Amino acid sequence: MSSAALVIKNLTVEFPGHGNPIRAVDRVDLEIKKGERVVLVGETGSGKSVLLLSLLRLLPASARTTGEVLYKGKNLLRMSEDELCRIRGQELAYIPQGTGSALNPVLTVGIQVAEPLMVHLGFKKGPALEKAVSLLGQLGIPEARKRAFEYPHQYSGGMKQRALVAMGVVAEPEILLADEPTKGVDWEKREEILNLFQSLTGKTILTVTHDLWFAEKFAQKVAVMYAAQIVEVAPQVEFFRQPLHPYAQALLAALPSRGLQPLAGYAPEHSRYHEPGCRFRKRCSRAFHRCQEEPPLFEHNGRWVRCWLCAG
Amino acid sequence: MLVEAVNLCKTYKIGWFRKRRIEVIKEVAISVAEGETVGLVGESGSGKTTLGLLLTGLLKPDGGQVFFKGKAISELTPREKKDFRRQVQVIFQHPEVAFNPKWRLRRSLAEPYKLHKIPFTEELLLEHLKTVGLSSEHLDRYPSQLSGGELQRAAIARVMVLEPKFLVLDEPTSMLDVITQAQIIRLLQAIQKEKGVAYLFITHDLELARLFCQRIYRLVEGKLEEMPTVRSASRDSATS
Ligand code: SF4
Repeated sequence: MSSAALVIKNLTVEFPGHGNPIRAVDRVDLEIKKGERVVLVGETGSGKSVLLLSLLRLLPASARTTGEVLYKGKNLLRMSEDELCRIRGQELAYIPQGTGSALNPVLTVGIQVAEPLMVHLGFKKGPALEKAVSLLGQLGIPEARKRAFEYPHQYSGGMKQRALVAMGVVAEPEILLADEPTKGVDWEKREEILNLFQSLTGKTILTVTHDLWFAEKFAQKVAVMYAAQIVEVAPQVEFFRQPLHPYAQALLAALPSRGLQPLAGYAPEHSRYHEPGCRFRKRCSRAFHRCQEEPPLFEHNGRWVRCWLCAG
Repeated sequence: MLVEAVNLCKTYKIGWFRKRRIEVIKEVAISVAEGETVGLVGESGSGKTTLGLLLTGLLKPDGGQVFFKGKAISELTPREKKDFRRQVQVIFQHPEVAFNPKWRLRRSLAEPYKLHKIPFTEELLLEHLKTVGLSSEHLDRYPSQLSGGELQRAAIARVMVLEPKFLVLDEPTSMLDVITQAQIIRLLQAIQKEKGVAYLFITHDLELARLFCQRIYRLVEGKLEEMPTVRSASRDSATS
């Protein structure tokens, strides 16, 4: 029996553009094992959030998604809407960014947390609310019994994030997909959110973030995305000790604690993705003649690296 | 001293009928020398931005004085005030607030030339753009068509036209990814080296402040305490 909880194969997401379609996610392969915590890092515009939403088919109708997302042997991208609805929220849950408008402003937080239980597991309102209250308490909401009957605007940013996590985990899904849990969160509150995520032991979790601090503390496996492609996948310890892809190296070298060394230039624009060669070529100090051809993902000592230097 | 403040106090009135008073800044003294970078750290809501705005004269203190080049800013003549307005500038955390979303970058960047009657040529504008790492291709874009890093560079270009002596940098990199953050900090250092501009760098990131600043203050409950500029205890994390 496979130990993979989710297998992403050749996943591509395109949006209609003015001329050619805009490819936001380009032929991504990624495997997430049962109980594994994978963090996908990348800068704004790298395609990481689109990838996450595409897994649950939460993108606008104009998006064209191809490839496979295998869950229990079935392709989520080709599943009927009914079957997907049953799985979404119950087996696979999405935790949106806490700073956005993910909570319904006119419903109490308790009802919103209880809803997946009523919709997916047939709970009656009373027991569902009871479970919601106890979960909110477990996740650190003070006076949960009272606060469950409050509205989102009465919650602080950190409490909203907790409520969103509660909504995600209440039906005890097998897989959690979290979008930028620390984005826009104050420095001091990041630790709180990290602890919250670390308390979700035993869950399979895929998180996307631009926050390397969170990635280092939380991930077991790190995947790096650059210009719509995965460029490196490595176990957390090895990644932070010695990243192999030149972009991943630049990412860590730019951290204040590692010397604040800036990498020059910008990521290519979407309209340039079709140009041949490695997408990092123009910024890469180690580029050589082979880089005019697009590198595939090479397996290198148990890691995956999209770079000709790791061609073996 | 270029900028000096003594006994600075600021109170906000909040709540229904503005009856509750919160003392955000309490008898603060701070100074910034020419060409120096002073860090200001503290938790969110600690009043860092308030203190920054008090030093720029954009906010009036309830007590105390701010001196610019030795003269109290409340006593500047209208002519001196105009000069002060030009020489003291702010860069914000969200650069988009400094740009009209309906204007192309060219128009936004030309504005300070007009406002401050600085001779304007396209060449001069391009030269300013080049120093911050932007080029002519950015000029015809709207703010929404620029990345956070590009927009922050444009904001820096726009204030540098005025040749300021003192810049308050209010968390200028906290919304950017690490590579763009490093680019912007290095750019600010290069500008300082060339132009001798002084910075008050407001941040929540002590590690970053230690790399960038000659002196660092922490604002706690309205009061300032000076912090060591080198790491004292070893930190366990590679990224913290
Ligand atoms: S393939 Fe070439 S250009 Fe791309 S990262 Fe590797 S060395 Fe650099």
